[in-house]
Amino acid sequence: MFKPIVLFFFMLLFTNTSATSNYGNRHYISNKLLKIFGESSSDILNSEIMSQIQIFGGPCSLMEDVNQDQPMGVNCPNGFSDSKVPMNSEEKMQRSKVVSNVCKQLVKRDKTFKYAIRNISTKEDHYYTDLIKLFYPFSDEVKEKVNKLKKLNIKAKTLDDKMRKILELICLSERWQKL
Amino acid sequence: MKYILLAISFIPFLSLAKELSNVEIYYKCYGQLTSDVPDDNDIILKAIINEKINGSEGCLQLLDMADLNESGDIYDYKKNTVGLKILKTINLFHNTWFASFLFDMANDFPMTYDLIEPEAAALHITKNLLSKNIKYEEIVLGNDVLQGHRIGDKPKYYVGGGKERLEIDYNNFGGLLIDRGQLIGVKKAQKNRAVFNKFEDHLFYPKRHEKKYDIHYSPGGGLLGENSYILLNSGRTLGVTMDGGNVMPRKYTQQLVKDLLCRNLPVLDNDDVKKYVVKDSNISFAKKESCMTCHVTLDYTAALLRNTQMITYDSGGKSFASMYFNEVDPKISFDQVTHFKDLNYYKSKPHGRFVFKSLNGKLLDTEITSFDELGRAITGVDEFYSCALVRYINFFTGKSITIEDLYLRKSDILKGEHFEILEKFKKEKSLRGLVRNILNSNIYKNGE
Repeated sequence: MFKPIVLFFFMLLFTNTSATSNYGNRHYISNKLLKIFGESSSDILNSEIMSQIQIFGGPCSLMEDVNQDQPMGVNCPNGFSDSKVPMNSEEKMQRSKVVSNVCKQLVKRDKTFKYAIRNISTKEDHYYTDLIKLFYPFSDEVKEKVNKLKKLNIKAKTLDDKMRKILELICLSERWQKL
Repeated sequence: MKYILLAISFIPFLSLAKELSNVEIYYKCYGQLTSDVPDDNDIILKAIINEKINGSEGCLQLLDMADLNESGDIYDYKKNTVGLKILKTINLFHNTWFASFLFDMANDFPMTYDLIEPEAAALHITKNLLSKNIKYEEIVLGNDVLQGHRIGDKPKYYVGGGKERLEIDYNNFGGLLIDRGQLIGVKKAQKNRAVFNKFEDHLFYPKRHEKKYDIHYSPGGGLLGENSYILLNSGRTLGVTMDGGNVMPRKYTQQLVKDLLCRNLPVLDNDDVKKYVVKDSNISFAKKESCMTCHVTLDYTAALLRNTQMITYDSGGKSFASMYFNEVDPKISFDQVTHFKDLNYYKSKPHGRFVFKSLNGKLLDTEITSFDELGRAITGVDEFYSCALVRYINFFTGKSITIEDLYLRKSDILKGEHFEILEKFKKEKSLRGLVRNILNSNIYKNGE
């Protein structure tokens, strides 16, 4: 949807403005995206985020899953050793690649996209703000982020398509993944 | 080109650190404690938005939602979903403090995972954090055997066995199985409920012993004496008895020094071990000071576990393993460590020494005759507190500091506030107090 160079610099735009470098683990990232994109996103989140325990961190409990077809289930994809992985991972490159792939899929899929925008205003003055607030609900830099997004002058045939592009850009940013 | 210029114009601004707002502080601790994001109708979040409380106060209130009641369960767990999320996250975190996860010979005795709580050590820390008016020392004192209180549908399988084995192997032990499902609290295992009358001591040439043992027995020492912790860390395989020489449960000491004190061996210098060197020993390491800088700590603590033996209910497979504490034969007496192989060593009265030099330079060398005494000795080491501090600081700030950084003041991440929090923790001895002090600190609020 976007040229790589544009995506790279736009990700920088939303990059860390505080000193913390604590990325959320797979449970946090998955729960956050699930709240934004709804239950229809769970298959993508399970296969792309929850399974990548080495990239995102976030241990599991062997005693928790009782209804998976496989004994280790989604939570402990690699077995017993997954109960000892770090709570958080500082791995960045692969994380960025995986999140990028997930964002593209979630925005492309009609059901998840419609869920995300179900309460978004169609007025131009509002939808930028509403979309940003999905990922940054309490940021004090929303206005600034809106202005920067508007400067990109994103074009699309329909409003839905435009929102898809904006939503993907915000989803690709890094700051919402940090705690 | 315009995108590049646009992005470059923001770079100087990007590197600036900023103080987190009250809502951001709450969002941060909520994410860390629950691995989730707060709902819009979150009562604490609303109070922060309405400026009734600040972010740190919100975080402390959030932590209080995971208080355990007198039964050891999360208060009002049927409605308190936030409390349950915190319990889950915190216990997962505490479980990473303890590196071992494989019971020895787990392939041969898979049911071990279903009868002996693999997360027992973590549950001691979790219970300590989420209970009121409890000292941190209690994690290594007393003979409570802890299990997760979990609820859920009937499992389709058990950890150690596949679905197809469920009906065949587990019926006899149905009432003793570890709970599976969502963790709602921490419970004490009932003594004398899981008593067995026989065990075997070899996989291929098993000898059957008609002796009683309770898999929920603990000799004391809190998590240190848990069947689960010893079984995960003894490093000695089925049936092996200790001989005071080469065969000792050294891995246990090595692991507890890592798990609870964040240290790797050796922790002693050549000068510290001179009196322990045995020049005429027939064990090579006992003759050399450099070897004994590790072996003094390893062997003298392991001497307390001299009568432990890994056994199995049935060596025919589809069974479980347990630790067995051999009875003391009053006619047999051995010193703490013999450094000479003797096949009767394991029958002598268990006693040893805890010899450990802290990074603050203080050498502790004390006799231990019980697991509670081992626990008390450990609580006398500075690292007992600083290890927990380092683990929580790393968890809450995302910065990696080591215990060596702390004592040698190597890392530029360290601030005076780290040491103030540590001193308070050592004085108050409250794990809950430690976490509250971190959440209330500038280190946390400023994201520094």
